[in-house]
Amino acid sequence: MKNTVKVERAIKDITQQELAAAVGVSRQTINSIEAGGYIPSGVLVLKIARYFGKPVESIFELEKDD
Amino acid sequence: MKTRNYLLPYSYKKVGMWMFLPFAALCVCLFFSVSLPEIKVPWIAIGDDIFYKGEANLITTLGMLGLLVSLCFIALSREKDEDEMTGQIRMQSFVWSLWFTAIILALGILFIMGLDFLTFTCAAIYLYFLVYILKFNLTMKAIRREGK
Repeated sequence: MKNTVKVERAIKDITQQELAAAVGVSRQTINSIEAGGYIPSGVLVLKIARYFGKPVESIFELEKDD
Repeated sequence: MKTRNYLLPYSYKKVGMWMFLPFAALCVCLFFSVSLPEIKVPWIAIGDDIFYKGEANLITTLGMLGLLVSLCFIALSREKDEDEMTGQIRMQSFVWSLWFTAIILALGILFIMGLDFLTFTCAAIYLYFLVYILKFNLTMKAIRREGK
C-alpha cells in the first residue's frame, strides 16, 4: 500500500513526532509507515486521514499486489 | 472499539530484568549439575501414583519458578511506546520463536535419548521465552535505529 503521509506532513509543516502524538502512536510507527515498512490498521488509516482532513483514498492507495 | 490486551505494565519489564540474572545463573548451575546446597521441604504434587508426597529441593523449585516469572515479566510487559506496530512485531516474534523452538524440539526428539531428553524438554520451555525476547527486542532495536 502506497501512501503520501510524508508529503501531507510536509504540506502541514509538522514533524513525525507531532503526527505520532496526534494519532496516538510512536514516532517509529509513523517513520515505518512513510518508508512503506509497515501497513497501518484501518483505525490508524482513518485517524491519519481525519488529522489531515482528507479522504483516506487521497493519502493511502492500494498497489497491484495488495 | 478497544481490543483487550493481556500485557503487564512497562515497569514489570525492569523488575523481570533484575530478577533474570540471579535466577538464570542459578538455573545454569542446575543445568550443568553444579553442586549447590539443598534445602529439603515437605511437598505434595502430582507425580508417582497420581500424588507425589515427599520432599522437594527448595533451591531447584524456586530457581526454576523464579526464572519463569522473570521471563514472563520481560516477555509479557508493554513497551514504553507500545502501539499497533509493536503489537504486530510481538505477534511475528511469537510465531518466529514457536517455529524455532519446534525445530529444536524435533531435533531433540530425534537425537537425544534417556534422561538427557527430560532435561532438554525442560530447557526447551525456557528456550521459547528466550528466543521470543531476543527476536522481539532485536527487531524493536532495529526499528528504533532506523527511525533516528
